[in-house]
Amino acid sequence: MAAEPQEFEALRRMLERTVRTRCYGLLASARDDLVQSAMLRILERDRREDLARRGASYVFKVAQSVVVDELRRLGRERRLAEGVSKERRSLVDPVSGIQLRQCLGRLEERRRMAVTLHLSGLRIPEVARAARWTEKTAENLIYRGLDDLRALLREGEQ
Amino acid sequence: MTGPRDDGLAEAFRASMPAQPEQACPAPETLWGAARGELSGPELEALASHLRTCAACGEALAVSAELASEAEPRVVSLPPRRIPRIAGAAAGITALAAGLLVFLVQRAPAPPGSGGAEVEASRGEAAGAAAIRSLSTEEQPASGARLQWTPVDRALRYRVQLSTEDLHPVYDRTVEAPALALPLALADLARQRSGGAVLLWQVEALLPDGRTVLSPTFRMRLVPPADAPR
Repeated sequence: MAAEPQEFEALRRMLERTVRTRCYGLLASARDDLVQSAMLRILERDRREDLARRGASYVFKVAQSVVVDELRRLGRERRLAEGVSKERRSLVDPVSGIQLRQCLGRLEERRRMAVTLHLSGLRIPEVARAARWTEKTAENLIYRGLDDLRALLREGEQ
Repeated sequence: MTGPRDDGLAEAFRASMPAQPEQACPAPETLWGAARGELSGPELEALASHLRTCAACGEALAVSAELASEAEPRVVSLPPRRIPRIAGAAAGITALAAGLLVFLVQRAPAPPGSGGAEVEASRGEAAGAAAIRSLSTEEQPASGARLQWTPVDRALRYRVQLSTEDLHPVYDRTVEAPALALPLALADLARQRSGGAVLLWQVEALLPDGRTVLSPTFRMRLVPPADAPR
């Protein structure tokens, strides 16, 4: 038996919330499209695999996989559009961008890892989990790494 | 993003990416593994190196982390927030733990007409606890369950903790609105027990001056989909 409709509705609401809070680069209309496409693909998978029988953890893994695929599809379309308009590139100062990444590369290894994950969008408990640190360690590495990064950027400005 | 203030560094970081990433993007399974702490050191380092040139994968990893945390609800150790800035929070957390212990031995039936059943507990603290009342129904379908409570004036955030009746923590989330949609994964708990799963929940409101307001402990029952009223 396939999953209950209300379970899909709850999953949809959760995906909407996740995409809204985590996908900074997407316009609202693109977020709606993403969730819609992801739900369609999840429903297709459910018809083939009976997701409910395989447990909530599996459902979330499927949801993650289709959302990542959809994000990348949207990203490719966005890059194509930008390639035509060149608008985004004019907003980014390439020198500052290179400098930021160079400074990041000069951080101590664990601080660089913590800061990279944090600036990529992970919260402290998520950084801790990914790197298998305690939350306290992750928090310290992020704070100290950000301080170091600011100091290196200031040095570069002088 | 919650956590340390980054002075716009996150935005600058995303804007600093080259037009094309320096390596091929990792498979979704790799991001899932990273979000669940399943990658080896070198694998995670390779991913971090890629993240420094690919904003899209950063977004994808953040989404993966959120979904991974929904997939495995667990209450974790008390969060290592920068407590010194929040005077009184430590006392609140201690009281919360004490409250959770007390309801093992001291349960009272739900007051008539209340939402979630309230478990009386004397915890010797929690001034203002009476200000928070449950607005959600005690029995809810396991999928789509939602907790709601009366808002606390000027509260910045609410921390919600759920545990089983034997005080095994199952979910811990901080929200800004006085409501919380429970994750689908909790439906598994309801499926594992005939008649559904009884959960205890409590809210801690954080005020701008650092004080906290604790709710009483409420009880709810998650009913598996087959038993839920249609």
